[in-house]
Amino acid sequence: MRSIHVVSVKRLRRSRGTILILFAVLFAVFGAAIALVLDVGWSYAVARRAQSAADAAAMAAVSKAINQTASTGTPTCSTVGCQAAGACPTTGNLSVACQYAKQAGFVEGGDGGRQTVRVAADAGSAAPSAPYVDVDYWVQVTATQNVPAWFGGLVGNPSLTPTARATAAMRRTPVNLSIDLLNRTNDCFVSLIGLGLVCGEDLLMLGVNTIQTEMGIHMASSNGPGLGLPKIATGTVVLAGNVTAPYTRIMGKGEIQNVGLAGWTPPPQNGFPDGEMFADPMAGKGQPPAPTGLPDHPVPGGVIVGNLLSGTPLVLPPGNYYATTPVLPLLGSSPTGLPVTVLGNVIFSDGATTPCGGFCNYVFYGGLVTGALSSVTFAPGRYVFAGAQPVSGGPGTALTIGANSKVQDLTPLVGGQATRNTDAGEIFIFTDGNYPGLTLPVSLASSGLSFPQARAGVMAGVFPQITLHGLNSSNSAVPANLRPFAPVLFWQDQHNTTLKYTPQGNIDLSCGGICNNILSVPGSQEMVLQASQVGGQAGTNLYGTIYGPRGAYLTVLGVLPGDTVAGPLQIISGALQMTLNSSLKLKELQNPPSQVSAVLIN
Amino acid sequence: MRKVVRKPGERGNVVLETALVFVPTMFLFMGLIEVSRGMWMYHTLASAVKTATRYAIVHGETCTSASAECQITVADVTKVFQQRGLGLDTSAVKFSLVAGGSRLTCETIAACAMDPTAWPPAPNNLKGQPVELQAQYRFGTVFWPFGNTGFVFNARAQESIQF
Repeated sequence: MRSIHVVSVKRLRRSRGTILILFAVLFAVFGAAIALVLDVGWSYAVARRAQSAADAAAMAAVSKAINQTASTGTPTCSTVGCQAAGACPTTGNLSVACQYAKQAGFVEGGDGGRQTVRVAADAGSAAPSAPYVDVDYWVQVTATQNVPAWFGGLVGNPSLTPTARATAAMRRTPVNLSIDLLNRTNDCFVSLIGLGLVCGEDLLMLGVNTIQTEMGIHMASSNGPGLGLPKIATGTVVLAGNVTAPYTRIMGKGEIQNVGLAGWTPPPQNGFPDGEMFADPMAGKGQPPAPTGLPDHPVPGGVIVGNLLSGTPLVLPPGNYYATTPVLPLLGSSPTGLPVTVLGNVIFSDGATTPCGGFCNYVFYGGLVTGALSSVTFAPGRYVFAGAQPVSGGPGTALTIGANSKVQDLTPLVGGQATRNTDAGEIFIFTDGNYPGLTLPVSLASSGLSFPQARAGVMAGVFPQITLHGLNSSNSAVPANLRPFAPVLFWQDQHNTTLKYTPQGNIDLSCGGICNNILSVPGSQEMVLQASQVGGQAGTNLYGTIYGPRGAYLTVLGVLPGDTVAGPLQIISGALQMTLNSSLKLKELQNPPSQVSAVLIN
Repeated sequence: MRKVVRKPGERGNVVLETALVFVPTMFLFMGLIEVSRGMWMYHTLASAVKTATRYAIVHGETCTSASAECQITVADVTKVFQQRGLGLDTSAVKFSLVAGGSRLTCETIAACAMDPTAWPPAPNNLKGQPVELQAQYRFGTVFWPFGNTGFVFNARAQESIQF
């Protein structure tokens, strides 16, 4: 017989709500778990967005500062924005920080007052988060957002505040390269050595050529091998080329095409991404300014006859030099637009022991030619070669040196080699009559003559001796506005290229891409450098930097085996072409130019 | 006193019903908590990897050229990962650092935390070159019925060296 179980109602009532309590406890635990996942996860996501915003903002503010200080050099708090941590100002480079932060979703007081964007900046002091790094200027951006902890609030944690901080800085870094070739895959030019249109060429060695460098080589084209013109490999070696460099770095899939016997030690490395590594080191600096207020020196008959019997050179004082017709009684003379020719022994100087107080200024309209067996000395200073008349439809040449002649400055070779100069050095600016800041002499301006773009650099007859030294920023005689360009020796105008540059020295991208530049004289994007030899040693000995813009190219001319360009020298150009029997022996430059860049340092 | 009379077949019903409901409910709740915990671990892992990668990209060749103090090691990167990875069971993390052709893998965080190797290493520390961090986290839970290997969470971050 089954028994009947009797339970009191009171006991049952005592049991009521047990499940409810159980569920309440479990729900609290469940809520806490959700709080961790959703609130913390959301705060992580916000923190990442904040970091992106801070990074972009800091970099933008410093990049803007670089543009602002391109012409003035080192930034100060009077030229760029400086402040303790606070909201963005409404103007100046620091305002750009907040514009970029806004693009990334962060605004001071944004998201219902939950966001903050704080900017701190200073010039000349160490960055607070990376005091071990020398910087000219730094900007630190801190982005925060108060994230309501919807679920966390249930367990007593009402909000989280993810914070991100980024510090960017303006730094000047030495460009420790021997050869820096800037042309990219789609940069094209018509090569004057018979190849026609070529695109993406950085290096062409055509003949029996040697390159030896103590520093590295960078090449910015990412063209693979192939000779399907106009596209050409990053580097092409025809016949017998030999390259020895500590390293060769090529952008992307760029490679060297060998046609013949070639050696490259160690082999080039490619795969490097686009970026600062392949940027124009002179970007953002503008161009070296032209001299102003110089006296005019018309040259009747276009010829200056120096001392033909060696001995004391004829002193040619600073000024504007241009050729005129011979002076005729009553009729006078008129400009011809042709080169000025110097014969014999001359010196460009004012004749003082320290010429021109350490730095002279000259402008040559129409080009300069030195006669055979002449000896021409350039005192430290700025030499502007403002155009030359075209020859057979091609460009004229800015500076031509006669056979067996000498071109030198006041720093002699040591042991047959160029060494660092202590004087101010020289800068040769190869341009035309329209160079910014250049004022044509009245008689030239009224003559109707033009001084169009010319071939930059130095062409010479056989066995020239060329010894020159670039600007020395350690010498106080160098004008302040030329110091950012030290140790440039040859400067090819940024208008002598098929790519358009802005006045600030950057590639003009205002056309929705790279803007084209139409050359007034086809082929004038070429710069030449004469290789030579004396007694079995290099005859062209240079110290400094040879600069040509992206899209232009430098041709090293050598004829006889052993013709060499040597010295502590750096070549920056769109492309480099070695012809016939030319050699480069490039030593380390002790005071290389600085590249100004914006970097994220912390 | 009111009495509720239960028939003989109803004895133990409450216990039985409670057992039938409570056990799956507990599994449900515990499952939710474990999934939540797993997601938390994953978010933490991803955030830690991202933070450590960003730390590495501002200590490249340019930085070390500027100052020897800027040189960091695998241990330094790992430390940043650990600081950001609060709550992670470090013994369950497998950590890999990749820079160009260089790859370094630690079976546990403890191994990396003692590694004095410079990171990112030359020549793969140049500005613009990619740096990558990969982390595997073995998430152990009692609710995974297929052995004690747990779930494996993967997190990866890649950025270009900035400095």
